[in-house]
Amino acid sequence: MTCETAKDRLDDYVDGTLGEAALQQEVELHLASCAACAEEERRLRAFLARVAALPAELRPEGDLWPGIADRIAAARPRAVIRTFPRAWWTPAAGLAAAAAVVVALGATLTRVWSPPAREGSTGTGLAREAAWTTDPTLLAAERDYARATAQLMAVLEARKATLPPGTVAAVEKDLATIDAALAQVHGALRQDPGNAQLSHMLAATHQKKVDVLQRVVRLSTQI
Amino acid sequence: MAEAQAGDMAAFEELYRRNVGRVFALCLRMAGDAALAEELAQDVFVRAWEKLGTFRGESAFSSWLHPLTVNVTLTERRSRRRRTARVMTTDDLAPFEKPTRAPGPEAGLDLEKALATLPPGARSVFVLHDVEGYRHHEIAALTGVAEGTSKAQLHRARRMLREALQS
Repeated sequence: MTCETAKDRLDDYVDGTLGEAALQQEVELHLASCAACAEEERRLRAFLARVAALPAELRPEGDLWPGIADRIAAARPRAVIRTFPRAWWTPAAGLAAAAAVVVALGATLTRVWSPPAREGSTGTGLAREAAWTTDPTLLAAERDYARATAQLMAVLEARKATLPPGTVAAVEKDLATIDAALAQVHGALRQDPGNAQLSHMLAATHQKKVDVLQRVVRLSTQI
Repeated sequence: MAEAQAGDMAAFEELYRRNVGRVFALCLRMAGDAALAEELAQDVFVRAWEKLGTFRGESAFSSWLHPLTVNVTLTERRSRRRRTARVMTTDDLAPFEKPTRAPGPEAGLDLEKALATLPPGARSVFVLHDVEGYRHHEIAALTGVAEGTSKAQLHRARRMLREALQS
């Protein structure tokens, strides 16, 4: 075997992937008789030992979690929509109805009803849910929306300082209006638990809140 | 894990904190660029969140995350190659003969930096084989190159690295 052939086969030889035993033996015989190729083998093994000693973990310069959390939160409301029962909720109908719900309920009823606490920011405890419905489907959907809005609110809270004060004030006003509308629908559902239109309005109003939050979170990332 | 699968973001953040070092190391070595590696690591965890329901707990979460990381890095490389519209057959090794960037004087002292100077195809094969312990037939299946091409790329990657490191 020539030195050139031996060097060509050295990678496979040290990896144990030469295949045939006869080839393996040929390389071994050559290495035993050629100091230069034996030195090449030693250096290759030393290099591979250095590679094997590379650290298994390396840390990025910054914390990647905020970006990951933002992307998950931004994608999540779409998944939440799919969890609503089809009988009374379709995304297109919900989106179309959202504006009407907010205008119809938000603008008028907030003058009559005192504003409730923020639904997303306070969470939706079981005791509170039980006050307006015992329907497990509605409760599950309510929990999904509450979780999605809470995540968006958390992102927004962290970035609040980057937004112009006027924008923050406008968003807070919008959210208060939507929360008031949500409280109205909860109250109506308490009186009329089986009303499909009210269930639809509830989903549309939740979706409106998610839309507002998503828009402002996107805006905060562009500033 | 069960909490993260149920949608608990705080539990998933804990999984991220425990695994980000391993994921980022693989992304950085495969991509050869820190900024791109950060993007890829983010992609990995977003994908992991989306697929968390498929994790059955038969292996450690880190083991489940590893092939996902490899897939994300290889998919990005394939799409980047398409974007730059480089026409190159996988069996044509001529473009791999020269590093994409000439190694600087510091590269001789730093294996990680020398690794970043390798052409993408050779770097992927080297990282998967010599750092991550994949076999050539597994690399061939993952990357879509012939097993012989994988061997040839490994040979060239080692040669180029040893030249850069003078070892």
